[in-house]
Amino acid sequence: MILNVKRLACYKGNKYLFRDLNFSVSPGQLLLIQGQNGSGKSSLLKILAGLSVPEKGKVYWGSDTIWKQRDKYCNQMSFLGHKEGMKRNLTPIENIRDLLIMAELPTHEEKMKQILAAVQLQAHAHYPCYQLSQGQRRKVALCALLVKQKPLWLLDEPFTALDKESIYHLQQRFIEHLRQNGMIVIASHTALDFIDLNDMITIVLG
Amino acid sequence: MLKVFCRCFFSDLYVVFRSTREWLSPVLFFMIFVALFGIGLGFDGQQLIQISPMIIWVAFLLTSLFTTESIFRADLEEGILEQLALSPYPLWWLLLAKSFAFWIASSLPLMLLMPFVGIMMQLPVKEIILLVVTLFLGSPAITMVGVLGATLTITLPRSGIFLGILLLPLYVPILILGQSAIINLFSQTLPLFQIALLGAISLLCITLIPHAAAAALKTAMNE
Repeated sequence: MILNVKRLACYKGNKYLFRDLNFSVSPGQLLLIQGQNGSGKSSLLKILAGLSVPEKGKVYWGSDTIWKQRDKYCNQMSFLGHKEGMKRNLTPIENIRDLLIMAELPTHEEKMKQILAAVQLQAHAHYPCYQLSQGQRRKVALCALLVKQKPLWLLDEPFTALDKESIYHLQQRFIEHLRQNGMIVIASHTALDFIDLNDMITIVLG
Repeated sequence: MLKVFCRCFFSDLYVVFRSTREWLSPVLFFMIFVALFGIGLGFDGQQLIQISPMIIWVAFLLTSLFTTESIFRADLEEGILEQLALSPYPLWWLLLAKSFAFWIASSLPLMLLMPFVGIMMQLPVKEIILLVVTLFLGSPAITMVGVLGATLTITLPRSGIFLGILLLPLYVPILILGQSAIINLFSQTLPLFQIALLGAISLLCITLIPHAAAAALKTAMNE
């Protein structure tokens, strides 16, 4: 499956954030969306996720647009926006379990714990999320993403507020995902130096 | 399908019942509101028995109006709504589960409280039973209308009063039916017609509103 974007335009606040945007992401590739604050990175990501409708243009997943095959597309995609999608009163394990069930996936408690342990969250697995710091909550959300293992990842500033070790660990997991023919789209204003340049496409907005 | 419904339902219930403030304060508000009328009118006399069913109904409507605003507030801030919208399951199905959980958390405690409130307002047992029955049948409709209002106003900051303007007129038919049921009982006839109609309104709301709410939510997400 290839994510293909044709002549995309986004209109917000009386001006075009971007126009005539064309690109495609193939399995094993990472797309980095760069640009200043307010240049439309998050808007583009939301359009790719199918959360908002672009002014013009189409987003294709395979041969059909994502809007025509919404259920199928949602089944193969994970989205992590500015907000983590974690309920404050639930524990990380419960939160991840919710997300897995909503994504039609089986829930293996052991696997969840393993992945949480890899980012030093095993001690917090059974405490409610409001006790976690912002960075820790972000890590839980990224763990959910890793457990879900969908082919396409759409991530908005995935590494904000994370510590160095976790970033390093997650980067290794990202590389692994690309090797297994996954696709990643990242919106970020920092450069990504851990990816082989041959596997990376960069677009700069604004 | 059923698994995701249950998961959505229980996870919302956990969230509510883990924070005491969230489910207890509407209950206390309801008690105090009704008690204020009791104190103002004097706790004795025929007058109180005549109007207290209505007071309880209005208190019920106001309490649910105040809780309505918060249905999706936390979910929006935490990004849960985005994840719900991106689930391969239909959004209306997930919203139905959430509404059901909200109904259990907000309306059921008030109904369980009714015997005590009824005794406080010196209502006869028959009326208390009828009140519980009519509230039980009418409250799903109240909850569902509230869900629709909450999804429509979700992008507005501090939507409280506006939500009231939007929702209170919609509560009128339910209130009229509840009131006429009680009046029927005063004249010694069983208000089967009102009970059936309340149930029918609730059923209609349960079947149609999740779809409307899902559409409203998708539009709000587009902003």
